Amino acid sequence: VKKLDHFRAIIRALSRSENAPAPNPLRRSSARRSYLEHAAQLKSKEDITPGNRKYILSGWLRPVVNVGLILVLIMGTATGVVYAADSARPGDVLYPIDRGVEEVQLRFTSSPDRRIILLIALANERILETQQLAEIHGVDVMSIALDDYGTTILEISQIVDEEPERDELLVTQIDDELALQEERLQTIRGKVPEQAYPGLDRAIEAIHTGQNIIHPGNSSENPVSPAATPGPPQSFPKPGSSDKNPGRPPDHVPGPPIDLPTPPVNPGGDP
Amino acid sequence: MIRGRKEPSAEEQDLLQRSRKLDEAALSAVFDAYYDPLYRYVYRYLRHSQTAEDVTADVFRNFLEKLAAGKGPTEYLKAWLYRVAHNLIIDEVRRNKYREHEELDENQRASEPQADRQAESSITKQMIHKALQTLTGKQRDVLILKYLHGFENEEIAYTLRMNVGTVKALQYRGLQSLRRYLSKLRIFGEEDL
Repeated sequence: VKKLDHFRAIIRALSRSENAPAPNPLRRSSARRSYLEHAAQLKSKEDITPGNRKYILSGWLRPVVNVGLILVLIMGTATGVVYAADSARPGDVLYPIDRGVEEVQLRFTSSPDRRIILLIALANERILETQQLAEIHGVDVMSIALDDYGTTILEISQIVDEEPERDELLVTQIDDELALQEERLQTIRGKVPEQAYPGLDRAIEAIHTGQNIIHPGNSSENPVSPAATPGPPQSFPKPGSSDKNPGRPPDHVPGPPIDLPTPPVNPGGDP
Repeated sequence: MIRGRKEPSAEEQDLLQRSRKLDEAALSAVFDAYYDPLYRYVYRYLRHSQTAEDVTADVFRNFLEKLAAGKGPTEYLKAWLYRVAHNLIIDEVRRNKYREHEELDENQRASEPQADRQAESSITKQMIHKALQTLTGKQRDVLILKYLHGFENEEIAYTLRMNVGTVKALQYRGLQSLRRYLSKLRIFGEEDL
């Protein structure tokens, strides 16, 4: 302020130096009228559209609602993808998601008995995938499903082996399932070209290894026959299904006699 | 946000709040309060009354549209209007380079004082005006807003998008240059300067 005191005279002269003419009164009133008309138009537009969102969702509520909508969208999309991935086969884009979901299911299944049931269901799914791949000549990726199948069977047998006092009925049911799965694999083997044999043979070998682990004393080639086992057969649910007894897979067809590793004499012919 | 800012007056705040709701009385009050000063501000740069009126009308149109879109000034109404005017002036000057020379229009001719006393005053005004032209653009902007439109330093800072320290420095340097220039022309006696 002290510095500006030196300029008092200049400031005074400057303040009085306004030399702009007054605006034309007619044009001024015309501008005023236009301005107020424009304001009235804008106001009426605002009255017509009172649902102007920025006034409904004000303050902190708006970001919360936005985040909620995004979450719902993400969850909806994720559910759709998981649902679509359920029917994916090896080689499909969604197959890794299908396997990921199965891994999560297994992670949340801590009871050994429940885990066995789930693993059997997953093994059935691998066979179903193999069967579908055989039908569409997807032999080159069939080994992915078959190797996963083998790993699943070995895990089942290891769980059974860890607890020798395992429920007799459950063990019998496992035997039944393994026998049926072997039959299905043999059937598939009769319909695919030779290049698919190694994968199928590894899967069948895994069944035999599993059966030997479950029944260490019984090392015969065909240790368990479904017809020879007592008790009611149990079918296993599809992973993620709420149906506790959905029935056996509809695509189950009894295969040719089991004589591994000899290839079928009359592939594709009548059994 | 203005550093070291001064709060706008309660009256201006109330006017602004009501204007944001497109209240007709408030909008009329804003127009009546600021049309003339804005016009003079614009005119000082453009030196053409009709263009200055058009630009001033554009300031108010812009004001309404921003309010209707939920934007516009939130605290400094006056400074906001001048900022818009300032931007429009820059646009207009860029568009009309040919009008760089000063143009005396009908209004100005009509307002020229006839009496000797008025003539003397007019000469001083013209000298001051010429002196202002010798300043840098920013120094001139600051001095015009400060001494012809009664702005606080904080409002100038907001209008011209600079900080208050810069405003003060420009103001001081601008006044120094003016004094130097006017003393050479002997417009003021040495004791005045």
